[in-house]
Amino acid sequence: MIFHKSDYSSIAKERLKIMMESDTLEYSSKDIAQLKKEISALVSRYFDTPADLFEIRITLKQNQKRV
Amino acid sequence: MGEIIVFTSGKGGVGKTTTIANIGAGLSQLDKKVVMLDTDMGLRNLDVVMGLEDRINYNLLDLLENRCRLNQALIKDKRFPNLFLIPASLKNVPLGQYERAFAILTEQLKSEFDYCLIDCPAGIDQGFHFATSVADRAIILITPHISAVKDASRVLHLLNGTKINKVELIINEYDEKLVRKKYMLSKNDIEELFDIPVLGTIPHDYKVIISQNKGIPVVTMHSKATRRFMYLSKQMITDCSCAEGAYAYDFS
Ligand SMILES: Nc1ncnc2c1ncn2[C@@H]1O[C@H](COP(=O)(O)OP(=O)(O)O)[C@@H](O)[C@H]1O
Ligand SMILES: [Mg+2]
Repeated sequence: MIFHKSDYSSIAKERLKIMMESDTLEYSSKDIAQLKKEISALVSRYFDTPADLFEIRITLKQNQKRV
Repeated sequence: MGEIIVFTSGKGGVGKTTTIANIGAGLSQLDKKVVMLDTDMGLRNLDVVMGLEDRINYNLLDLLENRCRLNQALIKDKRFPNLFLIPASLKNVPLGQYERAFAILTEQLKSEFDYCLIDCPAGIDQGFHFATSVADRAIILITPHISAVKDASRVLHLLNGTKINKVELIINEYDEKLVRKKYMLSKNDIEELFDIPVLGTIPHDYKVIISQNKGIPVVTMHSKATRRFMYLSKQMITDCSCAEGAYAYDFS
């Protein structure tokens, strides 16, 4: 995003927006582990591949955070 | 039945105590019966800002531990029509164990006062949970500084899960000139970020400092801050009488 050279309030606002969004995404590691387990069960079923031959990665688009 | 309003912020030094003292005085001048409760145990200063430090015999901890009756802990501010203070203790104790006693105490206050204003300690640990546990409504104090706003957003998040059904913001140390130059976050910026209403703003005003040095609320003097605090006091009342939930922050 491009701001006018001295528009410091918009810089602050954009930074806060991102911080406040990632704050609300308080995922518990237990939930994430369970999610990965369920996805990998699905993948093995559809591709007929054992779970140790692939890897599940989840990246949240909002802040590029990998969970 | 009165309303219990907690003033909280996350970050310290943003103006909770100053605002409670002046809105308390303001509301009492608007014919409301008001009690101000300091829950900043170990670091009490609402009594100091009000100039009532010499009148303390009992404090909130004495009440919670049943060492005195309510009437003995209530300090009446004789300069105002109907304004009372219950000071915090000098002792810093873990407050979690007193939440039940606090709920009973505040229920009693609710039946006797129109407004019970709670000064919440800074931070988000036990003291914060204690102070917010009994409230019907929360006012989050911020300054238009990025760190204060960030902390307030954490606080708003944590209020989810309490019985508070209405949350509003007050912006202290607001500088219109800096906002116009786009050096400082504006009221609109902040309203947009939080998606909750801003009750009003308070400018930096040296008379606030003078009044606290003298131990009198600034609303007894002529100043810019006085007009804002009186406006905010009125806002608090109108806001409260409007249709159920009209300004409520929806936690769902
Ligand atoms: N609007 C204002 N103008 C001038 N000084 C202020 C203003 N608001 C707060 N202060 C000063 O800032 C300091 C911190 O305010 P205080 O109300 O004690 O904050 P908190 O209770 O949130 O820690 C105090 O010394 C107070 O006098
Ligand atoms: Mg304080």
